[in-house]
Amino acid sequence: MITEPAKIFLPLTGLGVVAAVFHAMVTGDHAGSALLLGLATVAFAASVIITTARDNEYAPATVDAAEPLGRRPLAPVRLPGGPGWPAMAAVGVGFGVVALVTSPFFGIAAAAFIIVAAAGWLASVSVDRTGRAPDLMPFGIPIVGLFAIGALMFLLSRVLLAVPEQASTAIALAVAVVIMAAASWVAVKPQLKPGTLLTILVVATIAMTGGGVVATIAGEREIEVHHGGPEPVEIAADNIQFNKDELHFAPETESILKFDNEEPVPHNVAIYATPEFTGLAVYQGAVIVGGSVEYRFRSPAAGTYYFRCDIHPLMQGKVTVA
Amino acid sequence: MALTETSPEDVAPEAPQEEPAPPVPSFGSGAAGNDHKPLGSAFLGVALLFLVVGGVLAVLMRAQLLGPDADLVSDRQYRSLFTFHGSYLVFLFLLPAWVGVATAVVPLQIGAARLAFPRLQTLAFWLTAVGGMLMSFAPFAGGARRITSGWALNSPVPEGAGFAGDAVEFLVLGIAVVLVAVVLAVANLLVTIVKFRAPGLTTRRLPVFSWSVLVGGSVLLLALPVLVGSLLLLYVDHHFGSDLFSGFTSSRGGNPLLWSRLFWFAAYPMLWALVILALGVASEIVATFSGRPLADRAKARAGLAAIGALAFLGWGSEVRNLRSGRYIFVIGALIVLAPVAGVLLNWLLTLRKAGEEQGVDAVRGRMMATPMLHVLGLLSVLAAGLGASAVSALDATGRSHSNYWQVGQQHLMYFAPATLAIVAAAHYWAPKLWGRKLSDGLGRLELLLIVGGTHLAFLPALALGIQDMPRHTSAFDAGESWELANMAMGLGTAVLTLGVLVFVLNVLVSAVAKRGKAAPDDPWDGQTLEWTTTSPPPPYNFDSLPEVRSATPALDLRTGAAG
Amino acid sequence: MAMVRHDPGAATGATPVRSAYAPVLPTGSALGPPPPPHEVPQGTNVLGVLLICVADAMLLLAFLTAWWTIKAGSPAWPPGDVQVGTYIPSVITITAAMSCFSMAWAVSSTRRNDQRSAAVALILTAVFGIAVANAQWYTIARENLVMESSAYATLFNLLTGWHLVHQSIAVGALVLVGARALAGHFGRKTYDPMRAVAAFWYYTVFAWGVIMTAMYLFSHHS
Repeated sequence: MITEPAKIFLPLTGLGVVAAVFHAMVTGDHAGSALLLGLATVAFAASVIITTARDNEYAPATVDAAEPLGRRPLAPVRLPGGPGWPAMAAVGVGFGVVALVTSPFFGIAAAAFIIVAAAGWLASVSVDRTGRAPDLMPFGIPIVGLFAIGALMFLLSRVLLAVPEQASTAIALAVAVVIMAAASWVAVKPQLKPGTLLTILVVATIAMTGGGVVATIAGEREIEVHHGGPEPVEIAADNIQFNKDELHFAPETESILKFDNEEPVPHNVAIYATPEFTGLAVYQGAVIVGGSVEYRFRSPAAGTYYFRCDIHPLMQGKVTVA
Repeated sequence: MALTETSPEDVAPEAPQEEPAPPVPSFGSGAAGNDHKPLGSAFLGVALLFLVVGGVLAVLMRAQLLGPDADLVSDRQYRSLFTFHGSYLVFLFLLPAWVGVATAVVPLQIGAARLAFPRLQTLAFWLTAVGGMLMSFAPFAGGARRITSGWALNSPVPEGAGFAGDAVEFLVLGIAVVLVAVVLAVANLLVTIVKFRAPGLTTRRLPVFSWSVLVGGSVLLLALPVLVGSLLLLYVDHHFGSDLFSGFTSSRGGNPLLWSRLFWFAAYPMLWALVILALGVASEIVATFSGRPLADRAKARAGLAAIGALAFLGWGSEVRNLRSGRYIFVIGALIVLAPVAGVLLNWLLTLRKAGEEQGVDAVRGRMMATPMLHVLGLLSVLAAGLGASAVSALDATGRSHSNYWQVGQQHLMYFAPATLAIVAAAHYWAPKLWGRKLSDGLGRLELLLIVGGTHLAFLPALALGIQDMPRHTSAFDAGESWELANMAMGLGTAVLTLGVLVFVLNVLVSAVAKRGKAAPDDPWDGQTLEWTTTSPPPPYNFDSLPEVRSATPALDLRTGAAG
Repeated sequence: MAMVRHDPGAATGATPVRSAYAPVLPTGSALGPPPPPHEVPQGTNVLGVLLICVADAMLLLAFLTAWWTIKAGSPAWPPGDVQVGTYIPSVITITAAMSCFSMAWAVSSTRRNDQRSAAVALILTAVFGIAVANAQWYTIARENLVMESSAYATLFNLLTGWHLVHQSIAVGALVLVGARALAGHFGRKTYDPMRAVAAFWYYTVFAWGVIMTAMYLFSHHS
């Protein structure tokens, strides 16, 4: 028998198939047809899945309608505990996103938060089952301690790199003094409420994390490059022409090609191995319409290559890698 | 702990016998740690915060357009404003608010002690908060000036790696995180509704709101992941410079038409899911304040289910370049309006039957209750929305989707009803959830401002659509005929935002500061199970459950009927 | 609440509360231990995992739609000189299919609380799963398709990576739940977590079947 919730998904199956067929026949649009057919398939699977859950689906037959309605008491139910672990997991996901967008270093924080949260979550599941907590302190203290120290070092380093030099020294000294002062105060006080300690730790964590994230987004200050670092090669396009017909790169190093498109026409720079520009490009820069962009890529092995604009193939030149 | 054949550890054998073993502290627990009721309120709190933010952005937008030759903000800044206005309000207000209301109310309505996976809902909440923070980074990160595409993230956002800066990725991934949170929360609610109902509460007897959560949740479960996948593709496009959504050279490949199809395939049903939830709340309120069960419940439930299924058919009406395909979506977009009208007519039928059974004056008296007044306001907005949507459907992918008609239609059909229904739901369930009634005086004021502001803001938008003012216009010349309508829209937006602020104030004063009237268990003479427990309920919801023999157990209990 | 037995009046005395209508022990009294944690209806975990799989399938559908759409609009697919091997994907498919059988064996052993069979089956399944994940990682590394070189490369990496992530999560879940199974936590009526892991496992294998068909079986055209 088809249950009521399944009746939500089943019409989708039929409608999806019919719509997919019509859509494919009339428009030939692949995206829409694929989506509709996929929807029909998944909806069918969902209806099967939800039909298997048939709890309490039909009215009990043994109720005596003449008997007056009553209220029956219920045993109070203990809710599962440990709401902090999901919060920690979510913070880990947040760090993961920041890692995806900015620096992969945040991935370490993400992994740490998620792993700890998962461990805690499993521990709280165990608590629910047995009523006793497994003692995680032997694992918890060293791991959390190591992580906290590592995180502090990393985040502080981001902050120190983002501010001007003088300020960076001052901040480092200030942080050291604050830590000393806080630790001394905690050590000296005879009785410390857990709430106070937690507040201090939370404030410190937020300050450090917020500062570190903001600093990473702000980016490092200009640091004197003493040697090395790729010299950006520059090229511009205007009037469907490049302003250079020869580029030079060092072999097999991280290189920068600064491309300035001075007209509102789509251009790019792409480097190929053959003068006929066959095969896949060695490097294919993104197309921009006006504005400028820095192409960063790893230059190939030494040799002669050829560059062109993919949109206007007559804009060509030579690349010497030596 | 249940029956096991080999049970190595019995239930707490070492627990002290004198007192119940206190829940072992496990990082921020307490018995109320994962209670769905405060969690629902937390979702609602975050949602209201972003409602205010989005409203302020709207006021700024309309201030720019109060008159011709405006230069309050630049064109680019204006486009950023409406992009963030749309993104924040849809993903950080509407979706979390609905998740919050459902989280708080559904277990109570079905007689369950808890959600199926309480900690999962906590995770969903914190993911929403984290996603909101990520989306809030976006306006301040590098490259934010170039986010000018509108909440549908159409070009120029899919631009490839020529676009520098993290802002787009923060926005895109932030939205993805929020959507994942909503999907997790919805899955949780669906399992709860299917598995955790009180004995005797069959799915046919489900309260209309819980049924609408089942339908709307199913729609969101199927639609939102497609959007998450598309956002991941967009992120990859940006971060790695893949050009999936642009197609300049054949060796890189890519399809510029792909994005809008993927996006609207998911977003169109999402908007209808919001309407389904709104209709569910309103049906619940109409039934309660008419003093009788909803007329023809089976048709109402079928109507909501039909909206859910048909919601997947109209997406092409928002997509361009469909060539001959648009006639399919004319039908798709039109057909979904029919069950909506059916549900509305059912309300009127219910009220009429109540009038016949109880006398018109009794019913009129009850209709002056604040939640019911909100539903009437909702009805007026929905009626306008239905009309506008019918026109939009007939013009699928046409001009009315690129001018202000679409602004008016989308706000009147989806966003305004969903918002009004959240306000109505807050008034209706505040006594149960927070033990305090929201102020009626402030409630009527906010209703007047919100409904009046909505009509004043968006009916002129329809007029502007007829006059073919393009969407996303940041300034217009003095010679155009659009001045009056834009001024009206500006005034309406201000009134609407003021109404929203009054509502937020109402919630803060009455519920948070606890200055509202203390509420009894059953202030409205409700019909469903949540009204049979205390206000607010204990953490495990029910100290005792009435026997369920029909769809209106509380009504049966009160009238002593036996079925 | 609990699975309904349709006899609301049955009082069951001092046994654990199963029906909402049974009389209740007073809480916190000296009469007995505190009330047990809430009894979750059977099949809750499985249903939850399956619904998440339904949602996840729609996410995969978005990726596949991009694949099919861009492929249909490309003059050559794969573009240029790109060629991906089919040997390793075949091995992966066979291994994944075998892992389904060993997983079914593991579930049925758990149900009977047969520790030895369960141990063998679980280890076998885990090994198969790790092998598949490892092979997927190797595929991505060996093909070395730079993400931005073409849409084909991007989508290839994304789809293969999707399966890799899911397989890794499945193995992790298997290890955690398997540990509980070997500790004897499960029995005939309470092996839900094992079924949930199995459901996710079968879903991952089935999704790989779809991905493999799209990427390798019906892939080439010029």
